[in-house]
Amino acid sequence: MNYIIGMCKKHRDWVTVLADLGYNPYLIEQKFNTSSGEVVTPDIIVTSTKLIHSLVFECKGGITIDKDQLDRYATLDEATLFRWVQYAHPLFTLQNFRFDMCISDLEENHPIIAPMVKDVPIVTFGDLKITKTGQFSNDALESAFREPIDLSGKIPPLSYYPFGEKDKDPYVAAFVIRGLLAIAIKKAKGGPSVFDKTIITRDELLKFVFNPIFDALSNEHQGRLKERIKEVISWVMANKDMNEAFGTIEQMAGYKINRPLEKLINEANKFIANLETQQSLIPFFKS
Amino acid sequence: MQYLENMMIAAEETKKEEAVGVETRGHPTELKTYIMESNNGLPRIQGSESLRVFPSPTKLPQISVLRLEYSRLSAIFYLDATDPRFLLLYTNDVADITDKLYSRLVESSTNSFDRIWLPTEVQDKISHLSGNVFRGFGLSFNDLFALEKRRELPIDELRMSASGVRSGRALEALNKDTMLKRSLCYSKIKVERGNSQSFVTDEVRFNGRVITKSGQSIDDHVSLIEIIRKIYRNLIEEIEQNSIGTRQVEGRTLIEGQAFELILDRQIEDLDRFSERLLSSSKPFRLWGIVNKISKDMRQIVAVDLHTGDPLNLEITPSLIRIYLSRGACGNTVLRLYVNTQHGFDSAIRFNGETKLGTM
Repeated sequence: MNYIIGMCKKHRDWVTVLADLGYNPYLIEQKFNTSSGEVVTPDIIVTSTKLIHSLVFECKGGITIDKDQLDRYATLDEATLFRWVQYAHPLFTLQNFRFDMCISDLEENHPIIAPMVKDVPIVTFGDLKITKTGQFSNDALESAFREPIDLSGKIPPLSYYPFGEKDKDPYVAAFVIRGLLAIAIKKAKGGPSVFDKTIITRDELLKFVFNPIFDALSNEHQGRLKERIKEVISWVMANKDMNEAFGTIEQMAGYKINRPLEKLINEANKFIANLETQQSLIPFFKS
Repeated sequence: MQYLENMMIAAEETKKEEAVGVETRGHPTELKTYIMESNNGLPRIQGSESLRVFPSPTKLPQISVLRLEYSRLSAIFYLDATDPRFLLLYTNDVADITDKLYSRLVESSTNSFDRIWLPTEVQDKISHLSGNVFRGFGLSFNDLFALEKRRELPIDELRMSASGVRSGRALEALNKDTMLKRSLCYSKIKVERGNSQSFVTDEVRFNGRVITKSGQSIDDHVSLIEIIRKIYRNLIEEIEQNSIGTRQVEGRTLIEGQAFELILDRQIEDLDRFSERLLSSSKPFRLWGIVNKISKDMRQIVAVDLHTGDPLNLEITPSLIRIYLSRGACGNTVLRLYVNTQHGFDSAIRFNGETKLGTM
């Protein structure tokens, strides 16, 4: 997801192929009812005003492909998608608007994914290059991806979509601790406390932990992320040292808090290291 | 306005007396204007950590008098809140004292105030605007990330100043030196406005303090402040408009914005040490964060801006700092990071983003 959003931006050190064609990230995980009554939920749709075209991505981080899902995507048509893109694109009409469906996968999984996918182009991310199999119907897009895109010296953006619910505990914990500190700092300016039991239900915490793109996610995805964030918050706040560190920061409103912040980073690093150790010892640590 | 003009005249006369050897009552009390950023509009200004704030209203609703006290220091400021995002604090007390009190105010965790942070290229633009005459500059570079073991490179500290209309040529000459070019950034510029009958020469510091060094034209001083404020407001608003967020259109949630990039000319040799210094929670960066090692040459940083409490994500490689600012967060965070990296690591750094600053 990050790689694709990043390709729509003019980053100096990342591939700008989609940005060059005028694509912008448009919808994330929007559920569609196709004209034949099927339901599809693409991971991300990028849209180009320049090409009057949308590119619909299903991102595959693993090695599984749901055959039924591909069959449902085959029923996605221009009319359905047009209903969703027309509002932000007044020049689009049902006559001039077109779209392409696309799978994205990782190089190491591509030999398993590719045989399962028919008639849909695949964009494959490797360490050294981006390649494409299959063919886009849009000529400009086809031309842009025809040759492999060199990734040497490129720096992938990682933080548009900061984490998913399946990311490892230590990785997610860093975002959760950050979100809690943001709340603790804002308490001095009149905000709520990290010890407020209702804090987990507040949108502001979820956005401090994740980012505003949380709003663009489907309800189902938001729900899964909320549960994951809630789970990690409970671990953090159950840790006596972390709990104390947040308490000190909140109590010292108006005073220099460099020392409590130093204590918090030390405790946070210990906490994260501990999660890493637990995960390496027990492969399926998390239920 | 008349009151401010009187301050200027008094300071000018004190200087004239000093120049002819008349005994005066101490430091020249020049008119100083601090441009202060307020993330929450005009809040109730609170004291903290022994900084005491005594506000008094005036007949004008946007103007109030603030007496600030810290330890044995005390000074009077005149607060102009006409623009609640960028407040002006005028004073003619001694700079050593007012600087300390102002620092206490903007760094207090109970308020959401910050200085403004003028990049060198913006100071340069201001000094060359129509109506302004470039009268000199001060350079200040202090390597905040210097390695413990001293090496030949980089230049770890550089301070100098030059005066006069042709001082710009001195800077051009310095820029040709490859050793120096990463250490040349303005701590201040001196700008003259007006005509031979009525003029002002102001010294504009990179962190938003403007001191009248000579002249008595309050109109020219105020118009220069307005120009700076307008340019800075545009920069901040552009940054905030390009921050990462969503927009609702007809029930659809659309994604907007992109990360800003600081492109370094000087390579970061030790990413861990750089990150540690950057995230020390102290001035000037005021950032706290957890470092995630992505690869030998890349760190992801999950940070908080301690000025506002807003979250911030960074990605750092030897030649790049990528900043993800969330919609609703303060754009000043980005400029604080950029300008202090310019002054404390690499003055040849460039801002890359869909803003005017990216094209300067």
